This record gives sequence, structure tokens and C-alpha cells, in this order.
Amino acid sequence: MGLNLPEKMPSESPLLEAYQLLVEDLDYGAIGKCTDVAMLVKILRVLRSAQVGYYPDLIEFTEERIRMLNPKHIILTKDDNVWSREDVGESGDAQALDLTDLCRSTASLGLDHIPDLEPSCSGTNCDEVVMYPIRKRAAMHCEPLKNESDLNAAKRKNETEQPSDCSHGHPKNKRIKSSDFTSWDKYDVHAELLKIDEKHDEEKRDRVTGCHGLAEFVRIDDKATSEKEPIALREKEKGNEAYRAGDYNEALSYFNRSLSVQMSLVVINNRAQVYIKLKKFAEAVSDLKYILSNDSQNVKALLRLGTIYAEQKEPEKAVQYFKSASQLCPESKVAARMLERLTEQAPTTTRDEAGPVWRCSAKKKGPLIEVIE
Amino acid sequence: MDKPQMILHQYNQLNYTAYDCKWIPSSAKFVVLGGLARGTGCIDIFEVTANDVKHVKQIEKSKPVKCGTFGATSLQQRHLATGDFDGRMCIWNLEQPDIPIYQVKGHKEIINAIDGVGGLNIGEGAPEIVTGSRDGLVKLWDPRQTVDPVAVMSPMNVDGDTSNGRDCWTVAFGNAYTPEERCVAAGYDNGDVKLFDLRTMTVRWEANLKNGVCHLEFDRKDICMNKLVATTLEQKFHIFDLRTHNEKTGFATLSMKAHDSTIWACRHLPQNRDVFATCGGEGSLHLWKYNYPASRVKEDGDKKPIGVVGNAELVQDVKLGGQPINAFDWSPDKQGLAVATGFDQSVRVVIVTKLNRI
Repeated sequence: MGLNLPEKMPSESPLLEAYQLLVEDLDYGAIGKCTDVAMLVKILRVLRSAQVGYYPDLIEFTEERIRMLNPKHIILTKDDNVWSREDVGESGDAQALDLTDLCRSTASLGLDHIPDLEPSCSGTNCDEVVMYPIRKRAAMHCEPLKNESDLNAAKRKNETEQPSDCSHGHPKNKRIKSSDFTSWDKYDVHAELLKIDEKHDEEKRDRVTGCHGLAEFVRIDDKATSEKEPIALREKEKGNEAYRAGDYNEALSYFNRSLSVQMSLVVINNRAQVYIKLKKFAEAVSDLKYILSNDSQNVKALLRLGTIYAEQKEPEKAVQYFKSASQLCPESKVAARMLERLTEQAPTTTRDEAGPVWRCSAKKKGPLIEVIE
Repeated sequence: MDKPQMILHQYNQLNYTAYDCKWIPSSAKFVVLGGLARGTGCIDIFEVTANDVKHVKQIEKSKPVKCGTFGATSLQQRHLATGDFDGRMCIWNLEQPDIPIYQVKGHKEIINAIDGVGGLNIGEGAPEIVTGSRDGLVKLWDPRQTVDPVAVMSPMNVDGDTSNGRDCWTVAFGNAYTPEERCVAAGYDNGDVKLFDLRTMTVRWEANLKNGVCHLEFDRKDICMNKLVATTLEQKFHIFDLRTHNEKTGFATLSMKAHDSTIWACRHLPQNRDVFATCGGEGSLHLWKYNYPASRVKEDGDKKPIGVVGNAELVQDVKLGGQPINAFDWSPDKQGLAVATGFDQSVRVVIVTKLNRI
């Protein structure tokens, strides 16, 4: 045994070995028959690593096979090289590509590098700026979670702690005997009631589904006028996001906050749409009428009013608003279809019978004017 | 052609390693923070023009600068808060950058991450800065108080020993929608994510993601906390819906595999919280859109509310270079404008088009 072979041959393809694949698997026939996506992904990784040689056609074939089985597999995302401005040419979004606005509005003020904004508060006003107090010093200790089992242990610990916590928080839960007058003397009814309220509040908070304590206005006394517009815009964006997520009460708060900074017909229009979603039709109507008194040509407001009246079974009014909307915007399919429905039904049926029809059609067209801007 | 396109506006080669980049609010300028080969640090200022990116100024500092934020400064002042390799937290006036206007040796080791809230009209309440360090501590600072942090979140082993802390890689503010409410999320090298409630000073929630947590970000800092995105070392990112907490299952989670490498960063579009970008280890940049489910809450077996997670849709992906993209920042003033730094000693200005159509 004079041969001095190393104990193990160094592997030519560590990846192939790690995945426990054979070279025989990397074959058109085998890949073509394979239906196991996980296996195909492994094969593709080996092929792409080029540790067993570079076969562009086989890589493509494997990708095609995976695409057939699972077209959305993440391994198929190919990061194309980024485009430069020249590549985009005219197909690009000119508005997004145009930076002159940004540069003009913010950078041309001749200063060393940062343009000055106007001072935030003038003279006497400065004293009234709200200063939030500095937090009191505090420390918190926490154990690192090492792994899954630790996490479960921590969870279990929490679970077992919870009931004891409750009793811990309310040591007076023990019934006081009716004859024990000294204890009753010490018993503070108000304090106990307060505790119950607090507990109730805590429970509510735990169930977090809304924003508790979100103010309906934004503090702007200390802000410069040029800062107000971005603030109003940001509150509006938050409102739109909440609306899209289906949190209508939150959206309402944010639209109110935006309006507390700056009046805007667009935001009022959006708020009206939220009111419609919350079935607060009176508020919605008053918002929409306000918009029309300022801008009688607002198609969106007209359509929304029409929808509300259709929903509330007042077809005459609804028809009136849809008519003016379609006059202003003849291409509006929503107005045309609603008008068709309303006028078709109105003469032949009494209002009561027509009821369900209005409701159904209103629901159908609902999403079409839901677009919030 | 209706989906957003990512376009490289300008590519600049740097003579140092960049660790972080941030837009200077309400300006067309951005800062790049990094470390020079000779062991010093630098704060570099660039200016974007319509067709070009101009280098404005380089400020050299004694230690490499790891991270920075404008989150706790007013829109008038725009002071930059930074954390460096030596554990020092400094606040700079970029007009007079020779000496910091605030300096504190906050940590024993490198400050990995920094975040600010209460400034720039984002977040109610006092301006505060949070730093996370390799020494395992997360410290909360008020720029109006020097020397001492206002709060310290320290790791502790079972026997009360605080010396063996995990490496804190990322910190993020959130839930700052009233002057009292505020949360800090911290991510550690062992995959821990902890959510500290600063109102009650308790750990509100914690989880282990099995892989080191590279970056955490709330979709917005100044709303009742809605979503938290955590990116990890091994290809995955997790989206937590923070609106509904269930006693048994915690928050609803969506885990996605992407990039085929470490995901270094995740940044939400300031103009739309449901659009975000993730940066990968092979120089790729992905743009995602989160879609909510029809109903975000349902009842579990015990009639307790349980969150329902939506889905994340890959809107666009491009490759910016061969090396990891380690930092990314959206311009707060111009929708779609962004800056990214890579380990190939470069900084890129990227424009994403058609964002208002998704």
C-alpha cells in the first residue's frame, strides 16, 4: 500500500455534492421529466454556478421547465442591467425624469450648499413654540432569544404569567366580608372604578385596530408658511393610504388633519368618499355641496352625489346629478350607465319597487368613482 | 410599458468605502458617509442637477462614519446626526462642519445604526435619536441633553449578566403618532427582532427570524404602527402587520424570498407607504408593492382577533452593479428620485418612473 492517496478526493463541484445530486441528473431527459420544482431549482443553481461546466442552453431549458411548473418562482427573476437616461428615450415618464423643478426650487439659492428656508417663527411667536419635555431616564433589560425553542419557552412563560399578572394587579380582588367594616372604610370606590376603567382601556389598546388618541388636527403654530403645504400633502397621503388599506376611520382623521393645515377641495372630496364608505351620508352630502358651491364643474363630486341619492332611493335627484356629470364629461361611462339604469326604471316602476335596482346599480358602479386623488 | 422603470441618472466613483447615504431634506443635495483607506472617515456632499451629479464638498473626520440621519432635526436647521466606528454619536451643522454641535461617546464599539424622529415635521413629540451598537446596547438620545442617554435598552442573560450582548445591527423608530406614543424596533445578529415601547418602557413584542437582521423599517414613522419590514442575511425579508396582535400567534407575517443573497436594506417610498425597495448582495435593486387583503382582521378559534397578511408583488428589478448595494435613500422631496451606495466604492442616483401609477 505504498500509494499515498488523500483520504478524500477534493470535490470538483461542492454545490453538486451539497445538494446530493449526480452528474446524471444534469441531463435534458431527466430535467424534462422532473416535476419537482425544488429539485429543478437545485439543478439550476448547480448549472448557473458553472462548477460542472457552462451549458447556456441547458440552463435555459431548466429555466423553461421551472417556468412551466411555477411561472412565478423567485429564481426566475432576472435582474436586467439598469437603464441609463439615453436608453429610455421618449418612452420614459418625462415628469419623473425632469429634475429641473427640484433643482430650481431648492438648490439655486446661491448659498454654499444648503438653501435657506424662511425662519420658522417670527419674533414673539417663538416663545409660544411647543417644547416637548425631555424624557426621564429609563433603562430596559431584555434577554436575547437564542432559537426557536427559547422563543416558545418565552411565549409559554408569558402565557403562564398572564393570569397571575391579573391577580397581581388587583390584590383587592378578594371579597371583603360585609361585616368587615374596617376594610370597607379603607375601600376607595373611586380608585377602584378608575382601575376598572384603566383595565378596560388597556384591553381596548391591546386589540389595536384603530389609532387611539390620534389628534384630529396638526399643531402648526410654530411652522413656517412654506412648510404647511408639504404637511397638508403628507397628511392627505396618509389618509389615502389608510383608505386603500380599508381603515376608513383612520383615513377620516388624516383628511381632517390635512384640512386643519390647509383647505383643499381635493381633500374634502376624498373625505366625502370616506363618509360614503362609513355610511355617513349627511356629512358626505354637505362636503360635496360645498365643493360644488366652489367648483360647480367637479365631475367627481357630481358623480358621488348621484351615487348617494341613488343609494338613498331618491332617483330624481340622482338623475339630475348624473346628467350634469355626463354633460361635463360625455366620455364618463359611469354617468352614462347610471343614467341609463335610472331612466329606464323610473317611469315604469314605482319608487318602492325600484329600490333594489338603485341599490344594486349603485353598488356596481361604486368602485368606479372610488379613485381617490 | 406601464410598469415603473428604474433609470440610472448618474454613477459616481468614490475613493473610499461608502456606508450610508441620505438626502438633505428640501434640497437637491445628498450626503454620503464612509471611511477612507487611511482609516479616517468622511462626510461627502453631492448635488444633483438636471443632467449631472456634482461633488460639492468633502469633510474628513478622524473615524470612519457608519450611519447618519436627519430624522431629529428641524427643516430649518437640517443637522446631520452620525454614528462612527468609535462608538461616538455626533450632530453636525453641515454649513460649519469643523466641530460637531453635539458629541457623545455613546457606545464602547461601532455604532451600526442610527435613526431619528420628531424632526422634519415627521412624528409627534420630542426630537429623539436612537443608536444601536456592536456592544449590544440600544440607546435613546435627546439632542437637548448631552452626556447621558434618556433611555438604554440592554440585553441581559438569564443570570443577569449584561456583558454578553448580541450585536445590534439595525434600529428604527415608529408609532410616533401622538406626543406620548413611540416605539423602537431593533434587529440583532442572531435574528432577534425586538419592539420596545417607549411609552411604557417595555418590550412590546419579540421574535427570532433565524438569520441576522440586516435592516428594519416601519412603513411610516408617524402613524399608528402599520407594517414593519425586516430584511435578513439569507435571501429573505419579512413583513409584519402590526395592527392586530394575537396572543398566541403574534403579528401576521409575510416572508418572501428575494435577491438570492443578503438583503442589505429596505426603504419605503416616503410618498406611498405600500411601495418599497430592497437592496441585494449581488447589486440588485427590487421594487415591491404590498397589497392588503380584503379584510385585515379575522377571528381565530377563541374569538380573538388575528391579523391577516396581504401579498407583496415584485414590480420591477434591476441590477445596478456586481457588488452589494448597502444603503439606499428615497428623496423626500421628489417622488422616485433615490440614491444608492455600493461596496464597489460608488454612489448612484436612480430615478424610478411611473410610481404614481402603481
